[in-house]
Amino acid sequence: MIEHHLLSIILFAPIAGAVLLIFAPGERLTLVRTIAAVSSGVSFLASLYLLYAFDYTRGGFQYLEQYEWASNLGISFFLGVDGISVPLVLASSVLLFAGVFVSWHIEDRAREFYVFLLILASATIGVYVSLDLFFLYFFYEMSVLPMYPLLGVWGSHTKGYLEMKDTAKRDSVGFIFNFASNSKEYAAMKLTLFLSAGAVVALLGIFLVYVGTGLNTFNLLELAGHEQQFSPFMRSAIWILLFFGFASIAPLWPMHSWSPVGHAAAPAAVSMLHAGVLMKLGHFSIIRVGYWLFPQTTKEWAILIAILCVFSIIYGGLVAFFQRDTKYVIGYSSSSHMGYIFLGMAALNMISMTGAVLYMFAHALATGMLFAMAGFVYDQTHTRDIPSLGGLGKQMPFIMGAFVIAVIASVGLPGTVNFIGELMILAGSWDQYPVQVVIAVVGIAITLAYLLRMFMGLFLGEMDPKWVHAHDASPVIDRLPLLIMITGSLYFGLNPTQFIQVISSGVQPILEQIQAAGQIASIGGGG
Amino acid sequence: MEFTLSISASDLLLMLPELLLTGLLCLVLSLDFIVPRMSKHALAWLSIAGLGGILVALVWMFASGLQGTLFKGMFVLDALAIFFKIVVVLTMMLVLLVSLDYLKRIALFRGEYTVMIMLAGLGMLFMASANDLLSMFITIEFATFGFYILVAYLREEDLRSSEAGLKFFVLSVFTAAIMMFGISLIYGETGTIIFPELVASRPMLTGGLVIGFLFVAVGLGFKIGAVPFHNWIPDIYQGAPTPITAFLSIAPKAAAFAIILRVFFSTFAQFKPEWVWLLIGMAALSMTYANIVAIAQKDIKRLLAYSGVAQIGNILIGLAAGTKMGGDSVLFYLLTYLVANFGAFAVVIVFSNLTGSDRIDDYSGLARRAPFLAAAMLVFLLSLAGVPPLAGFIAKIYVFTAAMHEGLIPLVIIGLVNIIISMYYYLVVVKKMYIGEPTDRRPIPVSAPMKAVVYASVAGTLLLGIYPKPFIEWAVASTAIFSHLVGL
Repeated sequence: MIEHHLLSIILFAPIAGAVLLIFAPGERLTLVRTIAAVSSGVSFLASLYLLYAFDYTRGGFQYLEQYEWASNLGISFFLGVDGISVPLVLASSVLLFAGVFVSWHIEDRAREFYVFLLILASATIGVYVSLDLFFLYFFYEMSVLPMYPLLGVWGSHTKGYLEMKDTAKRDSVGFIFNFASNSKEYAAMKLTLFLSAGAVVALLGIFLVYVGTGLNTFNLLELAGHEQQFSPFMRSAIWILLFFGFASIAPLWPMHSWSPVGHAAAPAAVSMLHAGVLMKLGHFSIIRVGYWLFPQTTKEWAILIAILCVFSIIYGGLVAFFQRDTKYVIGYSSSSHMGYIFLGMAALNMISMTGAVLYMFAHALATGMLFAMAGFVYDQTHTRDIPSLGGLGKQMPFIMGAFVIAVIASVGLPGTVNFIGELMILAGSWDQYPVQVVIAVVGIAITLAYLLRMFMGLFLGEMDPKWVHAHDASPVIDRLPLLIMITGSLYFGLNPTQFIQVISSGVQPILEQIQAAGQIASIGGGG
Repeated sequence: MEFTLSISASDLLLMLPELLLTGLLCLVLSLDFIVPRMSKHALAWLSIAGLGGILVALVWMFASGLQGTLFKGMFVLDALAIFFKIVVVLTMMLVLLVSLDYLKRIALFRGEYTVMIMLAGLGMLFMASANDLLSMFITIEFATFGFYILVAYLREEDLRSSEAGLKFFVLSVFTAAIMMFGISLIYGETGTIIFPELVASRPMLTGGLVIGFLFVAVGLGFKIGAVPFHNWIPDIYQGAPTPITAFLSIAPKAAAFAIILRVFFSTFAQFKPEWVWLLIGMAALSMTYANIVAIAQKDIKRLLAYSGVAQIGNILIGLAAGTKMGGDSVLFYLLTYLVANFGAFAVVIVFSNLTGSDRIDDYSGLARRAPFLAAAMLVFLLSLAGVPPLAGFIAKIYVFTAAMHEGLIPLVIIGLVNIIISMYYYLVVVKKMYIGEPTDRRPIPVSAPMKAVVYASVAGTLLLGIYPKPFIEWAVASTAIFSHLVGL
């Protein structure tokens, strides 16, 4: 029974928690937090079980659930996971569970905060488990909107805002184009509009697929294999729409500008979920929709991904190096690391693409740790300005130790799952894109440089006496989320075999299609 | 010419809702007259109960598949008419419920207020059944007549209300004249005014017919407030008593869509290649113009007015598809628009009952003063913006899908761009409510009937968004008369 509804449980446990919270008394904080923790915990345990129960020898889509929804539009509520979605579902639920504890100290309207957080996370999970294009988009758009109140209400202003005294201008219509102000309102609005704009571009692509196949269905499994029905121009156009639509959340250079601002303004748990799993919706949806439905077009356009990803890696890394704000460093670092995933996707071979999916999971944990700790330090000191911090290692030995591990994971040193992912991406892409690989290796060096700089700036050196009251992470509530993420990163770094097998079982059918499509094209071209 | 009126009991059954409503409003009017001490609230509750009965009758009529025509084809009852009658009666009940508190602000003629609402509603019930050009004209004027008075109901308290009433009257009468002229041209070209006979006569596309048709379209465009016939909307929405604004923003538009569907989809279906451009133009203009202008609004009622114009633009996308599926999507969209828009106006009414203000700036910090109201408003606005899992999202996907099937890709692109523009101004209100700090920290009390309306609207918005299947099936069943309009 539970086996049959495993995906529903993972997806709806947080929503059930959100509904319970709406009716819970908001002033009883312990109750509110417990409901959030329990509902996300259920989702976490179920997705952990999913990882081990997933039959990678069989491959394909498993744990299918299908319910009729709007048959005259060709929409059904269709859930299922393959080897690509399983690790991402796990990452989402881990980060949600950890995020609930990271936000434990929020007291202002905590109930509303958790409602939005739970909706955000379950919508993210919804994208990963949807096998119906309509519902994939449904959850995709649903995951964007909670960001607005989360950033706007519980976020924090970033650089440049406090100097801005002209509130009338801040609230005017013009403020949306006012790039100098980095208020949380600005960040929230920019993020929401950017991502929604990306989403509707992808939606246009989805509509064109829906109409072009003439099958009157949004079912991804039925839509696959109809690529040849489209003219070469049409399928390229659709692929480009889907790619740029989804890549804006990834965020691929040059569509990244919402992301560092958004990360910096968001509360810690939201940054974690956002950088950890929300941005991967982009890569995932490109694979799930673009690669899956248009294998031949993917082969033709993969070079575009390979070109743009270099800009992401280098631009993000260099800008991160010159930031003063801890969250801006991590934000730009995340956009830079997303480039590695794109590189792995561009090479279209088994090793690099498995590496890309593995790296998505690995990055989720590593960046989750960094954001959680940046948030913790901010809670203690109320500043994120690196030059004014320093010497916090004495006050927070645990956080310092965890930070070292997070840096090791982010850079991708051996022992962490990031190492394996990075290695697979670089090794797999070497044959096709040697230039990109060399640049990516330089990118790793840059990563090491800015993360070490941030580490030294925060924890070493002389401490400002102002921070003498800053204390270390409390034994359970503050340490638990970090310990979970560290354990995940190290455990899967040391025992990656099963994980890799699960992922390859999902990557394999896609690559087989791409290869088969390539052969058809070459036969056609030769004849 | 000898004219005999032969009518049997079974014929009368076809206009049962209209007869019941006529009886009800006579009863309420005479009770108010005979027992002047009777509380106006009691009259309103009596009307609500009566309308509930009419709703039951309508559902029964739908379930039993009752249909037929009366008065030599002037009046038609079919599933489409029943759909719109249910929408109108439902809206009337909600309007009366939200008026209960609002009545205190009205100095004079409180009893007549209820009667006038039902009188306008009666006209709209007839609109849904209008089956020739003349009954179309008369029923539209009948429905508008009640609004001339209702819009100006606050004339003692608020100058803007009298201004709105006068503007509405002048503009309405003006477009009525244009429409009448159009009808006379169509009659002159074809020799008939009854819809089925117009179809059967298979008219040629002559100059007179084109102009006549365009003039009728102007009149109908004015009723639904599509750009470029939208100019009356913001001032009148702002000036009218808010429950009347809510009524005006939904019921007459829905009833006008019943007529539009009959005129465009049945009567002049053969001219689809010609009229489709008219609808595409109105849809694109309505969405784009209204969404851009809405950004600059400072008054929540004006914001909702422009948002409503943009929503009508979205509905016109479905209409422009010109297929059975397009018709379905129009009906479904109207349902989602009913719950979300009415809910938003209900929140506005609660808020202005306490504060007397409609300024968006005063909504600052609403989430702290009244978390329930703010959350409800969030749901309604996001539904209007088209965010999943709320009703408006499915509705937008539905109209876009219908249009995509007909290859109206540019129109769909305009619609998609407009989603982003509209999201901005809806989110600005959300920003005020959730991020802003309240200047006045008094909590906002919500009376039981208002609570019921807001809860029902939230439930409807969620239900239509999460489980739309029965409603889609209802819409599909209601447009059975358009099944000749298959897509390409």
